[in-house]
Amino acid sequence: MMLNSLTIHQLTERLNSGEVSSRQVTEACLNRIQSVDQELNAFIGFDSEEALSQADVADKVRANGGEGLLLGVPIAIKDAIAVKGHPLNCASKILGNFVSPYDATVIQKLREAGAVIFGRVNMDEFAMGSSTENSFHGPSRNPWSTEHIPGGSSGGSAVAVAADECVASLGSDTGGSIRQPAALCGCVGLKPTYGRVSRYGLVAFASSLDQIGPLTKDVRDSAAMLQVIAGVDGRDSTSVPETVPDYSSNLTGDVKGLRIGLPKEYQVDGLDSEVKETVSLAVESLAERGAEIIEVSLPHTEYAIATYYIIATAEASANLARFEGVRYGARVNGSDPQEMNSKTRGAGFGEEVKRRIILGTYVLSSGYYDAYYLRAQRVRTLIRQDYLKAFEQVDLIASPTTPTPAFKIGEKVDNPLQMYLSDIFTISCNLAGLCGVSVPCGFSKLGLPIGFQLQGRPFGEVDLLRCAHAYEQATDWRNKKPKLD
Amino acid sequence: MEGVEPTAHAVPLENVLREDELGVSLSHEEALSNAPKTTNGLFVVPKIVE
Repeated sequence: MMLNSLTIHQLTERLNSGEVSSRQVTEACLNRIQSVDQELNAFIGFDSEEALSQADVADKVRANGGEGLLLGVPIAIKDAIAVKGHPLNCASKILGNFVSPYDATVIQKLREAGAVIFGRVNMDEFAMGSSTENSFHGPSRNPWSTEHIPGGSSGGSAVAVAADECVASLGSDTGGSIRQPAALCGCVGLKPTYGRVSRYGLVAFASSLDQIGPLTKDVRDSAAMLQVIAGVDGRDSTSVPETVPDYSSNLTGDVKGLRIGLPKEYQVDGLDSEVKETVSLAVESLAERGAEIIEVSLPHTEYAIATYYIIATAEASANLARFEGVRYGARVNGSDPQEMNSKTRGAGFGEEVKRRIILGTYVLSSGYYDAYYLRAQRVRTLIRQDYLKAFEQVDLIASPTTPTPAFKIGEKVDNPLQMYLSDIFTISCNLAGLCGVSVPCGFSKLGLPIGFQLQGRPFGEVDLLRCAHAYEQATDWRNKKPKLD
Repeated sequence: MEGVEPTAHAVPLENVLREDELGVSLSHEEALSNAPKTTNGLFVVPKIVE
């Protein structure tokens, strides 16, 4: 039995019984990285000695009767989340040799729960992308077919979990960046409600949309991770003082009477027939178990992508203004600060990042602010209202996570607008401030994973996870593993 | 679009404030530790004014 292929709950059982040690499972993960990561490129960096010493501490704590929801579990971290003493680069050249002087709140929480914080995983630069092709470190590869993208921006996080290079990982989601790679790589990806998890220590892309969340091998693990990272934080004024319920004890398997909405506007032209078919079967499976399936309407769906790419880029242009080589990161010298700023940013940012900063600056500029940014914020209200209205009739909304399975590396890099269209089903969740999860629901004929997405009410993660878990337990997808070696 | 309020962020929070209590913060050294150029505990940039 490969220890690195266990789930958090399977591992915890064996750790508690003394059958295995945290050192052994951490070693198993490190060995796995040795054998597969050269090709997959999920990990940007890791420190074996440091990881093993954390594992040893966890083993000692356990031996002395100590406890922790994630005690001794190796968890990989997206390169946008601050870990004290570890490099933090957001897969960009512009952060240079930056080493984080502090822990993000989620990292503090993981430490308190006893986790082994290990390794930094690849992403699209500054979380801008849907394929992890926009990384300074080159693309990560889908473990199910290494010619294919793993999705993005949390591509490394998804690959590391799907390829059993770690037991679970953290990613971030602004327009689908946890759920989409989870779908394309065949693992579970949860985007908590905006405000559920603290953003303190997450390098900001779009401050009104970003959320940190777990990528895991099954829904039970997702609930365990959420339990640890959720909660209001005095250092994030956008985190909401909503009680954190017990997510794990609500995984009852019962969906009788749960009302599930199918948005009629999601039958888009670009929807792959295999994806459509596979997701229908997932919905049927829930109906068989007693859920009620109801058609709903989200009339402003067609405006979601345009709305997102105005709001997100506008916020990004403000958030990325800080990267200019003054207080941290790489610096290209100039004869005055203005020149230093433009040379540093010119040399340090990748193309997609530049594209979005320019776009965002434009929509915020005087004379255009009302026509673009303000207008987009109004459409955002309409999108949110669509959902809140739908949630009067249903408890959850079901759909494919992505319109197609993974495309090939290089296939869409020359067409950013095409790339943006792949976010159609995930984007509204961030705009409307809801929670969403992607669970594996099958494979394409080429053997590529397909994801099934559920979206829930704000702070509705209990019902969301309960339904996702019930579906998952009625199938065997989580036990399928990619053939590597 | 008439009468539609813009949504800046989708949470029911306004004017989130806390007491001005002293907490942990980065030390001077930590704050400067990633700077490309420093001197006397200050960040150094090219000359701003002639």
